[in-house]
Amino acid sequence: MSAEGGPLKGLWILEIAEGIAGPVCGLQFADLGAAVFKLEPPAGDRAREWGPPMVGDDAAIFAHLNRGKKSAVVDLREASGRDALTALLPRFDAVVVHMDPDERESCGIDWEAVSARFPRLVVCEIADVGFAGPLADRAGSELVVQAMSGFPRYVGELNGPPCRVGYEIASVACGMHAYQGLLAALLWRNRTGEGQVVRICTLGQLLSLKTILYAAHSAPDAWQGFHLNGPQWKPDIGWQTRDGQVTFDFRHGERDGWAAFCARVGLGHLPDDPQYRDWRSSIYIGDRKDDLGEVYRPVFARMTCAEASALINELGGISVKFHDYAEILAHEQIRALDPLDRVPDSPPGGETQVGTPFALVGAEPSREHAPAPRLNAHRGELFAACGLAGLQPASA
Amino acid sequence: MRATGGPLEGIKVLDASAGAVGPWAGSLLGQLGADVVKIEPPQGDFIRNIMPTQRGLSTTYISMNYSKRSILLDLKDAAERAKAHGLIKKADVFIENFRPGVAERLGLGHAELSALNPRLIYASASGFGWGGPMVKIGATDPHIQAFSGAASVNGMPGGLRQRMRWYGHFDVNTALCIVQAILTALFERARTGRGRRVEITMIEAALALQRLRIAEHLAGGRPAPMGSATTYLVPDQAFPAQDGPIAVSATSRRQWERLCAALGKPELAEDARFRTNPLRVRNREALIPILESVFRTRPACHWLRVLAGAAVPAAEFTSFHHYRHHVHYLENEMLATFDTHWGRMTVAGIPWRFDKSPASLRPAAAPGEHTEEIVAGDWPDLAPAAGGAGKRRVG
Repeated sequence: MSAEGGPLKGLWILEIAEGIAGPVCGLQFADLGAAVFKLEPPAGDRAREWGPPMVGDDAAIFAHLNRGKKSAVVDLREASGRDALTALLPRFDAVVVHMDPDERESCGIDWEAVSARFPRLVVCEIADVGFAGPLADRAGSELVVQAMSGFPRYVGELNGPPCRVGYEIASVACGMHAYQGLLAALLWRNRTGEGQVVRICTLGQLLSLKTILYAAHSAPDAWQGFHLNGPQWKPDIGWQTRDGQVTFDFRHGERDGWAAFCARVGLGHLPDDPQYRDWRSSIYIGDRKDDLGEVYRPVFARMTCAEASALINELGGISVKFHDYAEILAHEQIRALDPLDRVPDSPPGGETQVGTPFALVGAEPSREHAPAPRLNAHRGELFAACGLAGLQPASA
Repeated sequence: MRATGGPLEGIKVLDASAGAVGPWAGSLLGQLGADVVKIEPPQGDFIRNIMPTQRGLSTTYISMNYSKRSILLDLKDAAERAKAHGLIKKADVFIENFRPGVAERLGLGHAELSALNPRLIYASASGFGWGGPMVKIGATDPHIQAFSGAASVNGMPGGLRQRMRWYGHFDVNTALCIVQAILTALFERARTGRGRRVEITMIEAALALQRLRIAEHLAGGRPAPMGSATTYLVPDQAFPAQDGPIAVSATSRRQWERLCAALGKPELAEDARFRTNPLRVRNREALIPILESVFRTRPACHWLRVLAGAAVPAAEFTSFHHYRHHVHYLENEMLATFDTHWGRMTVAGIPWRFDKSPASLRPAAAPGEHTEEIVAGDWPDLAPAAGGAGKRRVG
């Protein structure tokens, strides 16, 4: 049930951002009821071409990230485009900006000066590699920021070819931090009447997700634990059964469950083996799973995923399958959670999409969205809403 | 402890969560300027058992609880529970991640607390949620990674599904969603005056993190492990320089043209097979060997210099011990070092930079350090900031 159009109804957000991070931020605002307008360069957001797979004329990625938004072409490299921006900004509560460093320079917009000129406006500027420092003028990408953060050391083989984390940990998290920064600044504006500039660096915020690891490396009493040793382990494939991979866990304090499992699968001698006194490090994750865990491998190889998980869970442990997306979206638990929103007017392939990952009970926003906009489809509407209907449309 | 000057200054948060999922959300709110009080039972948050330790306390516990004050209360004791209820009446936000039913048993259920304080934002985090067939199954990061499909896109082409061996990422990812939910509810409360219950599951947060791979799946794509490459963008992968791999991406038409020029292969930009990204994705197998053969001819430092000059994204693969003293990371305050009760510690810097209401890092408190001050003092405000807002205390 839509509660008066969603918790953020009435906010106007301007998105000057291509790719993923800025659009994730705008998507969260749009999903929760804000009006989000994208200003695109004449060639359009580069992510329109980030496919196949495609949804209609645009990449599936673009169609997802930009549902529910409106598009207007404004060329900020031209003085006339910058004048148009200045005329549009008074209508908006916040603007999210993400450009390549060379484009930022060629547009020459000083967002601190913009903020001074429009004192209630909240500006969120995103840079990939940094706002200061010797690498500040470097262009970034999801992969480059991952490489600079050390995350790829946790997938693939030690000393093997580089492997990335296969989903957009840098860019999507950056969009989430940008959403947080904008909302926190809007809350501060509620109290003080003042807008401000908030800056998010894609690399910096990705590094902040690993604070546990830096703390572990500071001055550990002993070199112990998965926060220190994970990169050196073999690829973590869980436990391979006849028809897929599963997890295998009994928590600390559930030794009886593990012992019962051992008895059921013909490993009844393990609980008496002194090597398995620290039994949990042989099953779940841990420094000794690669060698002491060998004994379980033939056991799992005889079972199916369903058999293995049923047995472990029946004994009080935790076992789930390593799903792919078809499997997870068909899973009963996911059906119970209902995480997909609907985009009924989307071209084929975009009609259902991942929705907002949190719930405000009693203030649920609409679960149906308009499809991603065609390039420049809403220029007239935007300029009219800002009292600028007389301006000529750009040639897109 | 002094007031923060951050954008959430004046907001009071009672953080009853344990582990990493809820505690990191509390820490982020503390960094944003809220007065966050962590409440633990006398036996302590279970995360104190996670190795390694620094001077005897788990570094995970320390790092998930900075920018908070700390109290110990035994909620099974009626008098102590009454003290917690007294704090709830002054709180703006309550965070919990108990197993289903436990909050109610401890007298911290939503119905009870929202009756005490109708303006309260009550945030609950769970692994698999509060209903459905998995409701009784515990969830930790390694299970969520496997269950949510994440492992199905990690690894080498044709290889088995791999979890990322940094267990904790899906915890902090959930924490990001909790903070988004709480801020949204605070913003809505400013308009309506009413508190809200907000609910976040690790599994939905994990699906949101993978939203682009899932969008491709739903559009008929087949996301699968691709090593350092990805489905939708070409080139965007590791290339073998003479002395080791470098990451290189061309995310736009301009970057593609400049990459070709920088490699001394301007004709590739004109090649009909490679003109647009969709064409390059379809003709990836023809293009990549051509690029690889060029990259092999020079060392990484050459290509990084040339590609930086051409404004094409490129970098070496690195790790913490390489960058922890790197001037770029330090100048951008991506890392912070401070003195704690357990000695000097390096942690991550603050993810946002506010030019008027700066966020701040404050070292973690010792467990129970503020019990007396907060419980006996009826949650006194933080002292006014010395010298006013505007000073970030890092470093």
